[in-house]
Amino acid sequence: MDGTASHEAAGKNSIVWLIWFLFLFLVDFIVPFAWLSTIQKVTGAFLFWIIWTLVAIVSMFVIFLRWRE
Amino acid sequence: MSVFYVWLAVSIYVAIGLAIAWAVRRQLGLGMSEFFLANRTLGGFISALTYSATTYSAFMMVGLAGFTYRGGVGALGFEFTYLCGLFLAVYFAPRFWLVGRKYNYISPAELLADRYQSKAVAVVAAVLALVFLVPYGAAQLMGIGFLVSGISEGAIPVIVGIVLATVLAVAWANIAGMRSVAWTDAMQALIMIVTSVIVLFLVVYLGFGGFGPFFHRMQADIPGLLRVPAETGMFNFKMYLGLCVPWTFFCLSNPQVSQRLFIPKSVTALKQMIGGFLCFGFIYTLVTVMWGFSARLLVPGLPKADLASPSLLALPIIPRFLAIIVMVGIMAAAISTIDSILLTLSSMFARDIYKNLNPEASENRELSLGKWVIPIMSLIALVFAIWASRGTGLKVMIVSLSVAASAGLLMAVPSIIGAFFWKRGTAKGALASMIGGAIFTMVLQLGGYKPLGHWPGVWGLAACTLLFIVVSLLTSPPRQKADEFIGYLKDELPKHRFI
Repeated sequence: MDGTASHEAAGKNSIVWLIWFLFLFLVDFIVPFAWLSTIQKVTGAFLFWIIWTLVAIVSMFVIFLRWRE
Repeated sequence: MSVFYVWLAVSIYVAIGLAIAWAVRRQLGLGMSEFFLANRTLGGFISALTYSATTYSAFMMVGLAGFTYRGGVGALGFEFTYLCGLFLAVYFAPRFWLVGRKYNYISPAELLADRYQSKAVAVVAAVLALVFLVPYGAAQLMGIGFLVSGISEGAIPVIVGIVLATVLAVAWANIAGMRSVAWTDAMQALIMIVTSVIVLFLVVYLGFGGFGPFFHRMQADIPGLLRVPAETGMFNFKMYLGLCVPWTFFCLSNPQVSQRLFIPKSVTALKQMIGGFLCFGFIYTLVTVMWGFSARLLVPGLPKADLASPSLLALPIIPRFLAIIVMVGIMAAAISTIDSILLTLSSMFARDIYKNLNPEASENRELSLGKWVIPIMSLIALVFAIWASRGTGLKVMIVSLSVAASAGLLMAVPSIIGAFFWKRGTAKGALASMIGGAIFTMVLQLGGYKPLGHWPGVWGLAACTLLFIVVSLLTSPPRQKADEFIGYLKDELPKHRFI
């Protein structure tokens, strides 16, 4: 892959991940306040935020585990 | 609790910390980069622990546990949102790290000044950090004073705790700069996480009979705290947004944190730093929130939510020696934050203020001044903390300024993002954004204004972003530097598979 092609690929990758994280942050605000606000159980917002965080952390690991020296 | 055992635990903690600091002093070389950044040679494990200890202050075990006690599950969401704000680091950490090495930046303000080709940008960014971080440090000192006094049942006065914490923070920052701070931070991070996890397991198994019964009690006794907004009214949407917005950008806005993006010795160390912090943060947050829920179930009806953790530790199911070790853990959380703040502020004062006002000053002179600034800054924070702890009128100001700190530091964020991604950004735009945004936010914060119910940080971020864009478009950018800076990153990022 030449320089220009690799810049373009990195740029697209960067934007796709940005969209994914923005989506995650929207979910973080919408789901607990709109859908889980009446569920008074551990399986409501408590479990949601744990799973949400794990998904976000795994996403970050997927990105930075590809980094090379 | 016996004062003797409190002092014994504190003495052991101080002795171990000093031994570590003196041991790493042997590796200390010459120059600013060596003293303030450990010559950019820290390994991944130590980088991860110093990043964690610097980020997590006494706020966690005192403030967040109290938030949970009063407001329930929203505290978990807010703190996890803050943790996941680290997604910004997957974009910015490689960029900070690359340009830090290429241009030998010491502080984030120096990066902005070079990128925007303006010394004034460095001075303003450094002054912003000084204004907002000194009261934040003072609040940490007060926290330690009250904690030590509380655990010893008043036998150790608040002021003794405050002075002790100040002396330790200055010592660990001065002995070997970033090296002693990073290694003592590592020790302190381990104390924080190990003690808090042990206490959680003791409380859950001895207090409730295991995690199953614990969750069952949460649902049966405090169901209104398992949703947002909580039945107490806390964590409504606007409050949640107001808390999350400034804290999501914490890894960029707080210079003592973003400066750590310069220090890993390799890409592997950088990965380990971010990955280690994410794991540490996930566990520590979950444990702290469960402390808060446990306290709510086992010691309901406390007059102040901030008493949740001390009350939990006072339960007979917690062995006294463990309660003292946890007290040391909370002290460690606060001191590890303060010494990092002191070190960063001294580097900014020397490089971004003094050096810009005295361009002919030698590096030795800069370094010497920076070392002197550490005790001076700590003295200012100490005086603030002592006045505030005596409950004078200044207390109101300290509390307000501490709350304002995260919102105020947010004003540098548009300039930081623009430095890496927007060639059209200008020094005047950065200055207008930081100064205008900070004044606007402080007016809202100190005046207690919340237009349309939204918190000052939310309005402040909108205002400083708008100012940065509009003023930049009306002024002329440093095209040559922007092309060189962003062009360098464009070439280097793909080589390491950075995004």
